[in-house]
Amino acid sequence: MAKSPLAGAGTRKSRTKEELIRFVLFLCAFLSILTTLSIIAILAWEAYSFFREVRVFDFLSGTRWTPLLEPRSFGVLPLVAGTLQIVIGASLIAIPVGLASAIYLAEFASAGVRRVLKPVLEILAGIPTVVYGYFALTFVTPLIAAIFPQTQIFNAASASIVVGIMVLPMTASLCDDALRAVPESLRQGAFALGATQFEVTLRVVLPAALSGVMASFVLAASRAIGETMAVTLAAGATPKMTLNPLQSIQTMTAYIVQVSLGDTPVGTVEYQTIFAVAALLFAITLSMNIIAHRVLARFREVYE
Amino acid sequence: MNTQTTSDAQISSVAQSRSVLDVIDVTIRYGTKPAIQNVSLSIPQHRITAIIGPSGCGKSTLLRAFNRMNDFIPNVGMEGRILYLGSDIYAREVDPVEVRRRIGMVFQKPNPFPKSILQNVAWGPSINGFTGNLEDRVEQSLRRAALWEEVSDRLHESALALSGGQQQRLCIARALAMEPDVILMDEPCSALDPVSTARIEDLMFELKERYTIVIVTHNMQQAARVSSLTAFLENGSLVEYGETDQVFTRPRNQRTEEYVTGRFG
Repeated sequence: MAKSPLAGAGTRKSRTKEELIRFVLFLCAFLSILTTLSIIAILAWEAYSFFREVRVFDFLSGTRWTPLLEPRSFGVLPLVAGTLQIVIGASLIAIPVGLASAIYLAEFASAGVRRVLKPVLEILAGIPTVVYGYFALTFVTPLIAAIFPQTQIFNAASASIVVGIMVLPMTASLCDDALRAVPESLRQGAFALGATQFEVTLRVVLPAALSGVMASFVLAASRAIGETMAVTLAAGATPKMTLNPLQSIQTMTAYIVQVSLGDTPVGTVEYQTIFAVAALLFAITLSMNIIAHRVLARFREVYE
Repeated sequence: MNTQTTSDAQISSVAQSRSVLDVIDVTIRYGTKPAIQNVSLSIPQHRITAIIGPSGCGKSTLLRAFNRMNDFIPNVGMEGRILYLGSDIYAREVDPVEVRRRIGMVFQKPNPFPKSILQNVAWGPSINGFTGNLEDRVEQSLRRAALWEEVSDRLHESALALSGGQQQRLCIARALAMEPDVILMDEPCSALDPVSTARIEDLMFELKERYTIVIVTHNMQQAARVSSLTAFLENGSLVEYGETDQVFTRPRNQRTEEYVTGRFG
C-alpha cells in the first residue's frame, strides 16, 4: 500500500503522547467525581444504618434532640430550627446590605471607586471563617450583652450577625454580577425617556436582574446553612426550639462538629446521627443550589 | 476655517421654518480627541433632518449631544451651545432629565424593556407623573407608531416576543408616549430587514406632521428617501448642510459629491 502523503515522521509518537495526556487529564477529572460520589455513598450508607434504628418520621418530626443523653431522642427539628434561626438572622443582614452595596457598585459608583471596592469585597470573602467565629465571641457577644443583659454567652444573635457579615461579600458580588449583566442599552433607553438614575435603577435594571438577584439570595442562604465554624464557636451547643435569639442553640453543622470531636464510638447509633444530619444538610443545600442555578440559567437566556 | 464660513451661509438658506434646535459652534472631545469640531447648524421644526457621513465621522456623537446622552460617557467635554427653542440645554440650571422628556430618542438596536408591551409604552409617562388616562395614551402612541393593529390583542405579553421590526416600532411608540417635540433616531433601521425598514420609513413620514425628526444614518438611499434636509459630516466637521435634494443632486462641496456618489465611505 502506498504511504499516505499526509503521514509525518513523528505522527505515531505524538499520537501516543496525546493519548497519554488525554488519559491523565481524564483521571484527574474522574478523581473529583469519584470523591464526590464516594462521599455521597458513605453518607447514604451510614444514614441508612441510622434509619434502621430510628424511624425517618420520628427523625424529621421529633422536637427533642438528645442522642447523647438518656432518655435518648432523635428528633432533628431543634437543629433545623437553630440552623433556620441563623439563616434568617444572617439573611436579614446580608440581603438588604448586600443588595444595596451591589446597586451602589453597579449603578452609582465611578469606575475608580469600583476598582477599589470590588477587590475589597473579594478579600473580605477570603477571611477564614474561624476568625469570624472568634470575632463573634469576643466582640459581638459582649456588645449584645451590653444592650440586653439577659444574653447568654453563646447565643444565636451573635452568630447570625457574623454569618450575615460573612456572606455579605458573596451576596453583594453575585448581585453586582446580576445587575451588570443587564444590557447598557436598557439603561440608555430608560434615560432617554427622562428617567432619573434612581428610576432607572429601581424600575428597569433591578426588575430586569430580579431572577439573578433572587438566585444570589438563595446561594447566600445556602452558604449560611452550611456555615460551621462561626456558629460552632458563637451559637453554642444546646439543641433547642426557641425564637429567642439571645439564647444558646445548636445548628446542624455545629452538632456534627461536636460529635466528631467527641469520643462517640464508631458504629453506634450516636455516631451515625452525624451522617443522618449531614445527609439532611446536604439535601437542603443541594436543592437550594440547584434552584439557584436553574433560575440563573433562565436569567441568562433572556439576554444572550 | 473654510468649512465654518460655508456652514454659516447655509444656516440662513436652510432656516425657512422655525428652528427647534440650534447648534452653535459645537466641539465635542473624548478626552483630548475631538469627535466633533466647530459644528453649527439649525434643525427646522416638523421636518426630517438626516445626518450622514462615513463611520466614525461623529454623527452619533452629535445626535447624542441633542438630548445630553453624552453625559453618561466619562471624559466627554463639550464647547459651544445647543439651543432648544432658544434656550441652552447645557446651561447650568437645566435639568438633563427635563431635556430628555422633550427630546426623545430611538436607538440603533431595538431596546424594549423586559416588560409587557403595555408597560413598555406606559413606562415613560408613568415615571414622569402623567395623570391622564394611561391606556388611552398607550393606544394613541401605538397607533401613531403603526403597531396597534398588530399588538392590540396581546398588550400584556412580553415585548421581547415581538419581531425586531415590531420591537423598533414599540421603541418609537415608547418615545411618542412622552409627547416629545423632537425625536432623535440613531440609525434606527440598521438592525432591521428591508420590509421592516420600509415600514419605519413610512412611519417617519407620518410622524413629521407632529414631530421634528433628526435621523442619523449611514444609508444614503435612506437619507435621500426620507429627509428634507441633509447634513454631511466628515472627520467631525460639517462639510455641507442643505435641502436633501440639493445635497444629493447638486452638492456644493467636492467631498460631499464623492461621498453621495459612493466614491468613498
